[in-house]
Amino acid sequence: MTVPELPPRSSDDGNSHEPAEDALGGHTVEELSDYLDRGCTPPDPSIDDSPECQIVLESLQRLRAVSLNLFEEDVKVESERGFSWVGSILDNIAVDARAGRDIPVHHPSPSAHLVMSEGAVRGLIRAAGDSVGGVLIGSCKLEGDVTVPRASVVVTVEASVLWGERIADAADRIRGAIYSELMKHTELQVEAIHVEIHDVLIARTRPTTELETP
Amino acid sequence: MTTPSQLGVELSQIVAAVPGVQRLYPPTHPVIGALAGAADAARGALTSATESLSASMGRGSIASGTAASVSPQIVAVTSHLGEIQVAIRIGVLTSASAAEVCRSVHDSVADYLSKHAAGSVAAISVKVARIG
Repeated sequence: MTVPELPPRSSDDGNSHEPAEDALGGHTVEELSDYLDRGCTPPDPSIDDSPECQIVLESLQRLRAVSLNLFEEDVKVESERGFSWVGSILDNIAVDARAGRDIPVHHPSPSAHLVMSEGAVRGLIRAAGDSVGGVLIGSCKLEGDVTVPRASVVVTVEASVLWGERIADAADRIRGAIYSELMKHTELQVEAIHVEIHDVLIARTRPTTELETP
Repeated sequence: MTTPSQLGVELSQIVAAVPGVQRLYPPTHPVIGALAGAADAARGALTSATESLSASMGRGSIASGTAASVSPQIVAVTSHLGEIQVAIRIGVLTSASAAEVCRSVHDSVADYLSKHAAGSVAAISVKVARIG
């Protein structure tokens, strides 16, 4: 799977200047993709012991599962563009997996310093969005000062939907899945979840929906 | 007396047993990593020196405390002027609340330290590095 060179995506986490591979223990997404191809053998501790690399590997697996369901022609045409959706998603997967900021977890003990990495939360958001049928999350952004306990944050995700999905319904399902996971796992005060649909992809088997009904 | 390195190994087992913890990740902070590495190196050097001394005195090598028998230190423990600092990175299963698991890990570690560690606890840092 080729990964086109893309400009760094802007982000408000203060780390957008950091090359993604630096945050992945020096590995590139291509290397991690090859590692996945080899069945994660021979074991590489620099990948297996890196939560950021593990987040990328999980995202790659979901991306591959969805890609298998797309028309080859659609993927081919898209990949011939300088800025393909596959390349864009791969780039964003690596960027989003960076550890980023520390998000506090409350504990009454003064000796407790409990946090979640921003990368872990973005990985959670991406997985929640990808779990919605007919949807693939492209990028994920947490806006607001997540390092301050109880501060309001706005979540923005870019997504692709398969042809035939009702976009408004898909966006609602994405929003619901993300909100549910954030409420379960984090203490973030979620002010809003913005879902931007950037691509419509053609599946091998088109779902029968109202869009196709005469 | 339990050394910080031994305590780190014991705490690794305590943390891994907390429900919802998927796995532990090695510490990332370069200073903590360097301290852990230096402690292991010093222990290894001491063991080698002792073994050499024992061999030169016509005795067999010592049976306990060899560097090879020590597990990798995943939980970083440092002690300075009697104050203990612990740093932990974990992955959490999606079936459990990551925030709750984070607190449970802290509480389990604090409980263990109160019973087994000499010195006061200055800080217990727990970082959820992955959920899934």
